[in-house]
Amino acid sequence: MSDRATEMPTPPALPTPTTVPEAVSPTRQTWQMFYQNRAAMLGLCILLVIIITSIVGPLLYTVPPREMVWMPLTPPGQSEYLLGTDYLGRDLLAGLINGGRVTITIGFAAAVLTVLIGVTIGALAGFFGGWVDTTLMKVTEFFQVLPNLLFAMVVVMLFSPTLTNIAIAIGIVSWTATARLTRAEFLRIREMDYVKAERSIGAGNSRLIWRVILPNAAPPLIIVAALSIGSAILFEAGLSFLGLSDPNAMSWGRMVGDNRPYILDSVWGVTIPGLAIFLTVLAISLVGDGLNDAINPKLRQR
Amino acid sequence: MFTIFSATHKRLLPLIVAAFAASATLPAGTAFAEPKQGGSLTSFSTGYRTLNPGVQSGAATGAPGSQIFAGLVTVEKDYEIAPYLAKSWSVSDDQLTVTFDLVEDARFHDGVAITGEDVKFSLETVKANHPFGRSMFGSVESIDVPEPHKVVLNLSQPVPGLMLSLQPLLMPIMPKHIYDDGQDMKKHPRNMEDVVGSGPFKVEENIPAERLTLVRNEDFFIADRPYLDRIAYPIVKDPLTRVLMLEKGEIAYAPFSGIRPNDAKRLENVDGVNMTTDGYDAIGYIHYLELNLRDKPFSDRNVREALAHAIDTDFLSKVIFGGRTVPGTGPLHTGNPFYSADTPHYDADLDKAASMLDEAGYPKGENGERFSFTLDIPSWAPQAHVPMAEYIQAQMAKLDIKVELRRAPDFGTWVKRISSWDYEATMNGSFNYPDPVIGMHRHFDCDNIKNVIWSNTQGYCDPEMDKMLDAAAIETDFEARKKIYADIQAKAQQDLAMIYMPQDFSATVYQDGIGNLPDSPFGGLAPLTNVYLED
Repeated sequence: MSDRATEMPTPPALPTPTTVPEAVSPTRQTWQMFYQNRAAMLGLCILLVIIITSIVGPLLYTVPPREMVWMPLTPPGQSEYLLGTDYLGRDLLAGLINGGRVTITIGFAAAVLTVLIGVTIGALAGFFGGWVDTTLMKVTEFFQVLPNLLFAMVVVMLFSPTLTNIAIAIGIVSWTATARLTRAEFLRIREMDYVKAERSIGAGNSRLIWRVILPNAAPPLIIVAALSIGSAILFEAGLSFLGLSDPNAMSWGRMVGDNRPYILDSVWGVTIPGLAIFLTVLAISLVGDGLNDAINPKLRQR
Repeated sequence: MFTIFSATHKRLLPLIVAAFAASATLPAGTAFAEPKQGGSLTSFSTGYRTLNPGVQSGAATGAPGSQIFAGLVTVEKDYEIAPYLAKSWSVSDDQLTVTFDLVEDARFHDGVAITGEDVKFSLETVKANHPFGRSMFGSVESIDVPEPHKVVLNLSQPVPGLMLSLQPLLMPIMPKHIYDDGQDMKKHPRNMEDVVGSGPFKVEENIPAERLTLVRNEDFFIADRPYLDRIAYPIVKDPLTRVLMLEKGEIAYAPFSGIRPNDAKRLENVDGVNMTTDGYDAIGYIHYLELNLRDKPFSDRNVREALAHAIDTDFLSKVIFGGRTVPGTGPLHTGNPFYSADTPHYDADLDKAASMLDEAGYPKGENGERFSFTLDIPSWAPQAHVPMAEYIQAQMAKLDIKVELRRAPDFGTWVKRISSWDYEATMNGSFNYPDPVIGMHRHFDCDNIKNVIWSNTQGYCDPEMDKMLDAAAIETDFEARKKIYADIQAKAQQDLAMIYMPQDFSATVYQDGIGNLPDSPFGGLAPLTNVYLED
């Protein structure tokens, strides 16, 4: 980063760049950057496949995921059920296809919550500074030093493991990084001339926060939001592994957790849903990195 | 005069004779290898809150508790009652007075002599504090100690199962001079610290949540016993860890091993490791679906019958539990002396179930459901209850009944829900114990509809059933009693007070080279006095 930062002062020697943004719109430019990034495109493709499978899969592959259809613990490829069966004789492929919906929904819901809490707290702290900042950052630090997994477990155990509660639990333990990042962006941007100009023509605090500063702080936040979907999925898997999953919803994490006691006899029971989680999180990371490269203007010149 | 009291003996006598005849033909070297002194046996524990089985039921306390404390008698193979701290006993003709003569040189671990006063104190303590205290000793009106080593129990009515309750698991002999200080027995500090027992092993080290070590009681009242120098109980909560430790031989003897049927197959294939499901008859661990009978739709017997037709317990035991359990046919375990297989059976038949529900007034509604209910899953036996509950959920879905599963995060949460009757249905299980008065009556007696877990929480009450239970409780003739219990089991299954699931897969895993493992129906919860390690 430092060498790039020192490169920055050279552009003044070039012809004035004011016309450049008009030639190629930022969105288009971003997309071009993203498109050229092979890893990111791969990630996007995987993600699309997973999402499409989760949406239309259950309509095409109609084996009920909770029904006992074959002998328990049948290895893959030894029956009409391609990926084998779990400890109750349930079709793993059906579980995988149906579980994707739940897993991804929890991931998204928890990520949205993470961003909502994180951005709100970070924005208020960064914008107002002073005692607001101090108080909110103390709260953030408090949440930061709490052991995430333990805290989420307590929340889920206290309020019963339903999908909503799990998403909320993940959201309330993972917003701190977003909050700190938002605060840093706000601290930087609120001193910018255009913010001062806006304020001088009478813009109120809420307009400054939500309409002026936030859109300009968006790029890094978008990346964090994307990555937090991945970590939320992992978190859900972790909770399920410990037995804290919604017993009425089939998710990949729950499949791993349910089959864990049988791991010595059925490696596939945990491997297959584990791989699905791995691929999804990998895809999200690749897309997130791609977005980072594409959105961050400092990297565009590469 | 040495009179054997228990009615079960009349039935058992031919069996005992047969057993001796059989053992005489066994090749020498297996059954009659010379036991030898010494050695350390590693078992395990899932964790316990107290070491005193007099105030707490269950295997976690019972397994070490039966080593630390002695009882008046032991229960041997085929429910034979053998002398232990009581060297002999006699019963009056009206079956209302039982006199015990105690071993004279028995001492507690702190050296104080064990007398009739301790027996009296122990029985009174168990009666007042043990979960089954009332059902075991409710009819014991008074206890006399005419001589230091003589105890007389005066009963208000005959108690056919009395002797079975006098072994260490259910009535440990506790030191009066330590416990009789006015403190609440259930919370008495000496149940965990500085435990002074009367049994073959003493507590050497008790680090809760880590390990418990028992060492040989050099001053035990049976000469040259026990054979073992030491029994170690490391705390191993995670079942998967336990399986790996058993596989590697890090646990040598694991009663109530908590393994799953698929683990059993795996362990059987390991050299030097053996698995048996013997030794659980007296405990009689059964599982069932408990429905709250107070509210619709389960107050309707036809709805319960429809459910019974939809839940194929044969499938559960054969497929889900790998053929290692047997389906429950009624409230008693197949190993119970009073078990009867002659009970109504509900064939697996989804169509019939569906039409029964239609007739009972639960047709498929506009939302495509007949009705929905929440099925609670307790936290204490997930290996059994989770597969059962998920199977029930899938079967109910076929009948258009929506089942919401609710897994309890901990024991207390579940107990609170069930004992306050604030539930619709729950997976449940309980121990029969050898005498049905202890383990079975509690679920059916109208008087036992209480806010207590494992009482009659489902709210079943039938005057005819009550009459039969009362008759069975005092019937001293074994065959007559057995007949009443056969009717009770048929009636329970006819009324579908509960829907019985496969019995528990309870297994003991042990390594080669351990001699004289207990063949008592109490299995690992019996004293390990005669257990020895081969070379």
